[in-house]
Amino acid sequence: MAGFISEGEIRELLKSVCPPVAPSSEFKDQLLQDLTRGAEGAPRRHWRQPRFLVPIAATLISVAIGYGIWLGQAAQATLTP
Amino acid sequence: MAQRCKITAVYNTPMVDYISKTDYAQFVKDLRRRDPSAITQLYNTYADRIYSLVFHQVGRNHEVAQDIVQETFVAALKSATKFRNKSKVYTWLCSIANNKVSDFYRRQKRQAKYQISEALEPDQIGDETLAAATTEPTERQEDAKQALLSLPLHYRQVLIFKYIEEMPVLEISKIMRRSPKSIEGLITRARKELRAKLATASEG
Repeated sequence: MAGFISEGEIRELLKSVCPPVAPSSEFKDQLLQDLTRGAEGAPRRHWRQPRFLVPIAATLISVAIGYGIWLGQAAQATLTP
Repeated sequence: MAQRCKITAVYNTPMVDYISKTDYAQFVKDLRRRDPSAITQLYNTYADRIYSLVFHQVGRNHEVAQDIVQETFVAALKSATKFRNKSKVYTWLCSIANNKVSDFYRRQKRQAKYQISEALEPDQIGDETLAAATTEPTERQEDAKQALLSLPLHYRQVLIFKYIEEMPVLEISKIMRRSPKSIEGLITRARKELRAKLATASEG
């Protein structure tokens, strides 16, 4: 044993001491349930996210203000003899 | 679909994504949208492999492995929208799991309530430990188990990726976020340390 341990031996040894292990089925079922439930509650539509919603709202407000200004000018032009 | 995703052999077919190539692109798209069926597919395909990987990294403790696997999948789903398909899904999950294991040890160190080797007593909660685990370990295997456990975490991790997961250096470098050259060096040092510990154990 004191001799050199080859790479192949290391591989075999490690594989024998670290065999594949699976979690308990209760744990697996519970975690899957939690994950899918969490995903269902998560935001899924891009346009609902703040980074999309803020520019959309800003655009709408700008359009409304612009329309108001235009309307004011148009009314003034109509009333002016 | 579920049949196709079932894991057939964990270690015999290294680094194979168990989802067919045509389905894979769609799967990644669905995953980014956090589609529940994609999440189920992700979980059914990789949960056992990630669990096994973590279990051996944390000194064969089922309770700790369960916590870390849970954290891994929750973090994966949180960052799923950012997954850019530059690496394989399994590599991505391994990378998250690897960070969670490191976080766990960092937390333990910070708390410093007890030594890691004492805190991580192996247990037998899992009901599906596969055949190889049930056979009586030889003295040499027992030595190897102890030697692996006594290695620094990054040595243990790199040896598990290299010899148990049989991952190529490039893949390991993505997981451990180091250059391939640095991973090669790390493997050499870890192997040397393991050899030394095995030699000491056999002499003593």
